[in-house]
Amino acid sequence: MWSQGGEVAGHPLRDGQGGSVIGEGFAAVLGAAQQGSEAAFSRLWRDGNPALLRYVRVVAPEVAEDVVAETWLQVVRGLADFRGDEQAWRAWLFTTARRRAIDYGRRRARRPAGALDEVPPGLLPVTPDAADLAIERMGTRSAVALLAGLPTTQAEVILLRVVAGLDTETVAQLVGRSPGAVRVAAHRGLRRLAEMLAEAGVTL
Amino acid sequence: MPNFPWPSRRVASVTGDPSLAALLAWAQFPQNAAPEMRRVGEILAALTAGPADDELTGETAALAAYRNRPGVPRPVRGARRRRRRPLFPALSAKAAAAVAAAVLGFAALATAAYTGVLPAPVQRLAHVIIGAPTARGELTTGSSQVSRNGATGGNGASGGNGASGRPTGASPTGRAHPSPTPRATGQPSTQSTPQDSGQPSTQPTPQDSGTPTPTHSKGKPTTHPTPHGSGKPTSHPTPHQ
Repeated sequence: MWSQGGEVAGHPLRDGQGGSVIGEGFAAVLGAAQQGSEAAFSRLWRDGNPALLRYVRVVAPEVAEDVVAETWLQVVRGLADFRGDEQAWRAWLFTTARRRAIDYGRRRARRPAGALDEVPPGLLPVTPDAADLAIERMGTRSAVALLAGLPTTQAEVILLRVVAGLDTETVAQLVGRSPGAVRVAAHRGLRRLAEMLAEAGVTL
Repeated sequence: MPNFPWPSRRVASVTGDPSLAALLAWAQFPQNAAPEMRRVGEILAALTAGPADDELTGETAALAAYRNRPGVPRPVRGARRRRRRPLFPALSAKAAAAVAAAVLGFAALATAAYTGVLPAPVQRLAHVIIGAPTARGELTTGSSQVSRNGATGGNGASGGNGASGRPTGASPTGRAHPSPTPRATGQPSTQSTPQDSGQPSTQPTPQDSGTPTPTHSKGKPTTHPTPHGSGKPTSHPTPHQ
């Protein structure tokens, strides 16, 4: 991934233009999906679902799949009325997912919490150990699990900035904080990640 | 604490790191970045990598929800179903109901006309239009209609008593044959009853049917006694006209 000059490789999902993924063709894809094109909707879904899952697996790991599924149900219902560019589209996706995750959290809080051994192993949060970090290339799942070790606000902000591709102002509106607080949370989260890697003794 | 628009000193110290800013802006990573920051960059790259297989498993359900959402036009797929063309496309449901009602009404009217229950003017009209029988008592031209009384004309000309307005001499029942003697009961009496005293018998004879009938004929009753009215039985009916 790293070139000789230390340049960061291009974002796999980005075209380097302000966080957009579909890019210039977004308006056409959105319009087609609103008119009933399944291929266009599938394009939107494939673009947004992986990012949604990675985000929700950090903020609501036990119910990530359910939250994302309900998010798309709501998006489908409101698809015809959506107006905006790709930034607004992604903001809408993640705002909906965040609200669904909060609803699930409230429902869980009302119900008595079960013991951890009742949770299926696949849903338990996994923190990659140092050996994994050292030996194998950091996979997406491991990266998500590592981020889940951060404080919730820091992890959420990093995911919304990096994975969702939202700018600071949009993230601030989404999480209900000031843009300055968002910047601080993001930087602190990244610094904490670096410290965690240093503590694990991972070096290049 | 008020939210000032410019960053505080603490915020500046945290966000002043170019590495972090570069990471978040996804700009080129400085060459002199600390190694741990490079590793962080790798983590962020993994977070934004292409979709894994388990991240695309819900597409079928999402497409199903998309297909079933209300109020969105769906593209036509496959052959169109043939629409059954109505037999009478010009007729709406209301028009068809009106036509059916008219047909039923006409049928009822025709039935009434053929049974002769309509008022005379209407019956005459029905006779003209659809050839229904005429009103009661009216002559028909070129038709041998049976009168209501069921009499068949002996001379073939009349349809019953008074049908033509001319006395035919027929009995009130329409029979044109001469009325038999008072003693006749429908059968020529060749036997005398023991009780017979020659007077017109009012008692039923053994040959009679169960219903008592007057011994005089069904035709015009005679007021003239028979020549043998003295009481002596006669075996010969007296011709009487």
